[in-house]
Amino acid sequence: MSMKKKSTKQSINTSWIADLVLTKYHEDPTLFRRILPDLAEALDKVYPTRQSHHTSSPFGLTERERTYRLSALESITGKLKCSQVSRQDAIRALEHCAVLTEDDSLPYTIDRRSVMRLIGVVLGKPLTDVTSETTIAIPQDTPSTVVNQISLVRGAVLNLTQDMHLVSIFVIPQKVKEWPRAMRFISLTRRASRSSEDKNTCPEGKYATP
Amino acid sequence: MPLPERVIIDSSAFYALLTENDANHTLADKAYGRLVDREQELWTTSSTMLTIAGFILKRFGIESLRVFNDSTEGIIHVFRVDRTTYRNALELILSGSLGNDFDIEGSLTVVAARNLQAHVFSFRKCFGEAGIATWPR
Repeated sequence: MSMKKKSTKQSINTSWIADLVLTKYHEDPTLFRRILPDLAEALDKVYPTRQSHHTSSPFGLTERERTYRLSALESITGKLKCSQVSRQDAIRALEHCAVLTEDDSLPYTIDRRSVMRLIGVVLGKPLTDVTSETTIAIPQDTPSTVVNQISLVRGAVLNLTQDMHLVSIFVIPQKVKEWPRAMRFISLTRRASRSSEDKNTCPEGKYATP
Repeated sequence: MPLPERVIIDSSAFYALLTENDANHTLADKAYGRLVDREQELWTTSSTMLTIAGFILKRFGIESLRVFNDSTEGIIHVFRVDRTTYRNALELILSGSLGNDFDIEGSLTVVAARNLQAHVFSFRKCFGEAGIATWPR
């Protein structure tokens, strides 16, 4: 019993220290890198998004590119309802999703379930059925180098070329399981709010959009 | 616009997530889900964390606070508000550079966002009006 308590306490302390280190790293990365190069390198590995390269314009996609990507994506996801999506189509759709995500313009109409299904088509089985760390390679016409890494669904990292062609998908099952845990506090409080007789809005209701 | 690398969560986003009848609840839910999926660095200030913990405790009880703690552990990093951060936030308020709609907690979020070069996940218009990059756009 006491062992368990000690373990929890250690876990909290570790998290607190990690946050502090990461804060200092972001505040002055140059100084941090000079003083603690090994730790800076380790942080780069833990947070791979920092290593991704924005190959497109720093201003994002043009309206025309955005419309084309979205329209092509919707035509594929529309077929998901009838389960008529080929592996090749699913790969193209994931590439469109990656480009639109990088541009921060993937609409919420392309929901998580659709992206999970597309990944499932490429993997050949549902993402949640993957039990160990796996890399699924996509056959390429020519040798390709991974330049971009984008996570569309937690635990499934898309490895892409410079021009955003999918090279492989790296699946980390432990990370896949983190998403429901991360979202749990929202659904639980929703349930609590239904059972509660207190129907008042939050005290800081002034923040809500009228 | 390209995707922000880091996002700091303001109390208004937490309130929207935790209040089913909040006008922004659905958007907050979807947006937060996406941030978690993208494995982006999520942050909040220790001040916001305490405020939200107090809100959950008062409104939903201790069990929900436990759930919140377990749920955010390892997902949301906490930016510790130290003496310097507090002083900088106070100076921002006193100088009037943020406008009249900011409280000290909002000002602390601005200081943290600047230090981390993060966008602010917020539904408060004052952040945008003060020139702070906000999310969702």
